Amino acid sequence: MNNDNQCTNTEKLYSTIDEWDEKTYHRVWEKWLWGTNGNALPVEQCWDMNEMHVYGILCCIRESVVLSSNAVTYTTSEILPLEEYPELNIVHLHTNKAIQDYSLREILDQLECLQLNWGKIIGALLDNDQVELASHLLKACMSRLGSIARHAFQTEGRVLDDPQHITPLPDIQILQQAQQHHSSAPLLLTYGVVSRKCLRQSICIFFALWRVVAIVEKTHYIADEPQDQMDRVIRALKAHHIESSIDFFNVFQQMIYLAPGMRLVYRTNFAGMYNDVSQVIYFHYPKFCRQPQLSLTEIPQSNVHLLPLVMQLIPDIPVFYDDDTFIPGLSHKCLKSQIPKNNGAHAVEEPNNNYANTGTGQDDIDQIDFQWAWIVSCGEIFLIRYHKKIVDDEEAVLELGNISRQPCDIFLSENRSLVNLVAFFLRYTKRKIGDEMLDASEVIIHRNSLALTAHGHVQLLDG
Amino acid sequence: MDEIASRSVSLRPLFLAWDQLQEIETKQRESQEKKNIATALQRHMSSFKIVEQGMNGFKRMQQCRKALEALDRRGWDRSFHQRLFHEEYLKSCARIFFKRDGPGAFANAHNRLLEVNSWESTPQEILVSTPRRFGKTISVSMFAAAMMFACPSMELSIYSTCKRISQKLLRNIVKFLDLIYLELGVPPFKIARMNSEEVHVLGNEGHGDLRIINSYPSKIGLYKYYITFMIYVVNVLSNSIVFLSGLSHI
Repeated sequence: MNNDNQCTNTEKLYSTIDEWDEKTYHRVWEKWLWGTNGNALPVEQCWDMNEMHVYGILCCIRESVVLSSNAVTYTTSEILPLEEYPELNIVHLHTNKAIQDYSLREILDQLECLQLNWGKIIGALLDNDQVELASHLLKACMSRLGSIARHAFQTEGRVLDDPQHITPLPDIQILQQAQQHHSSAPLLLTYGVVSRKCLRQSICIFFALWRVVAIVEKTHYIADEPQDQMDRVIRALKAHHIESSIDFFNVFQQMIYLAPGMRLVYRTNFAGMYNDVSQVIYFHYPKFCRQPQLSLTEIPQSNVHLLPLVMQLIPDIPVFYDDDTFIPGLSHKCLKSQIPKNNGAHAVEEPNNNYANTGTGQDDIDQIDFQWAWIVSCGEIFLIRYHKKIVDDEEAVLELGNISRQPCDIFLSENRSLVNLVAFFLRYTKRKIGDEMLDASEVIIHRNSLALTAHGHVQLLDG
Repeated sequence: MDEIASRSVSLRPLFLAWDQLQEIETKQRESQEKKNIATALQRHMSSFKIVEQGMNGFKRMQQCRKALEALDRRGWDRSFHQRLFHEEYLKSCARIFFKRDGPGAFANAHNRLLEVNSWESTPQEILVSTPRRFGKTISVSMFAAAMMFACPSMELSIYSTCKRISQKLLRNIVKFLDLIYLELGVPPFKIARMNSEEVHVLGNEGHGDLRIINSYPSKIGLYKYYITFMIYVVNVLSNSIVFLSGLSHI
């Protein structure tokens, strides 16, 4: 059996879960996080789950196996010490209780708490350069969920303490006794398992939180750009950009308002009913009010308000969100074919390359080979530079099986300023924006880059 | 304490169901792919189909000219300017005639095309501006009918100033097409669909040769015009032709 088959045969993976080596786990993990479509419709025959949920459950169970073999338990406050992170005291719901001992309700509460505060947690950990603590915390929670998922508990017990997330099981012993004695007494449902819906929701949240961690871990931080470069960006912003970008701004502010995984959970809970992000917003926050766009002078101070204008200035750079089906540079190439044709109004899946080298006047191969995109994750805006071609990295293929994607670099400004990030992009690509593009030589270059035929022109007839 | 009150449950049915589903989907996909893939022999034969019929871009252009001349003989003798318009339209649409000749056919034939027709270039757009009563609407109808007769798998869209004109234009096209059949003595093409906005006919160049003409009303205004002008723009896209017909305003 080759690597690829090993990774796709989930039943075999499950039956040998105690014997996985690091490589197998890495493959399954990679497949779950970047090789499955989280937005796919759940399949009724598979317990109302999709591929992402199936692999997510495998990962949770594996985590529970690993943690139980290590016999180590943690409380949240041991992972995120209060002395070091006093600002994160809100995430310690059960300070003295090990995560491995959480009941179903407690683990769900903890997960929701992490989801709502994930930006804050990651931000605090980033400042201390300890993002791996977020991984420990998530793995501990996954392990507990995996442990609950592979066990049936007494419905009257203290683990399954949330009636809405319990599926009762018929008790086998009582069933056998009833058969022996031909009893017609009603069956007692004393054991139960966690419900499918609960598993599905939790896996969606884990998926989204892990994606944020993965993006942050790959990020390169860029220092402040020279002031004149930043001024270029601010100078290029005009009032008409506000008007033309207002539709995108309205959608974008809703996306930013949502916590990681909220859209994903909604899309799987209401499968096939999702059309617009406003559905999710008003489902979670019925009192949500759209904020008006700021004035032109205030906009550069706010990344959320600035990005729609930047998209007017550099329209060939698309925006992707962390729960999108396909994110270039991160997702596996096999997912590219699963992108719906009209997948949101603003996520341009296939960027137009006509502008790729506009205004640079140079033939730098590096520039031509790369494309750029914005990734919005957990309220932060990242810039990703990815290779146009999908490269089969031999080492990765050997190690991870049939995985190929575009090599990429993710950038974030150290001071979290989008102006700085745009200035970096302009300096790196030597591109010009706004009025800078209007001199005669630029017009000629721009025209040449357009796909006109050698004979294409408008002809006026005389006579 | 938990373990006392708990029992292991197997999630194997979930993974088994998932694997079985994947297997079924893979088989379905493979069988679908097999259905869609033409055999090497089919591909080979289809490339010769047109050659068998002896048609190529040059001959189709000749057919188009013949159709226009047939209309001349059937009582719709074109004026000097109408002939000029048609020649320019033909120039703009030249690449459409080579569409079924395979990739690169137009590029290969380009020099010869210029030479044979004494053209300097083949622009894809043409803008015609003349005073009223020059017969522009009629000339567009005639040309559309000739194109429909000569050009396989083409789609032509005409945008007129109002619904009355767009309907009239479409009726004219159908009428001229009938005259062409009559004059050239060829069996009429089968009409697949016809309504007040579009006509689809099945051409004579094999499977997939559906020829479409759309005639749509539109709302167009040109301001600060003191003389009535009629403007046509022929814009040949990759596989369709667009006429903006009769933009006139005072």
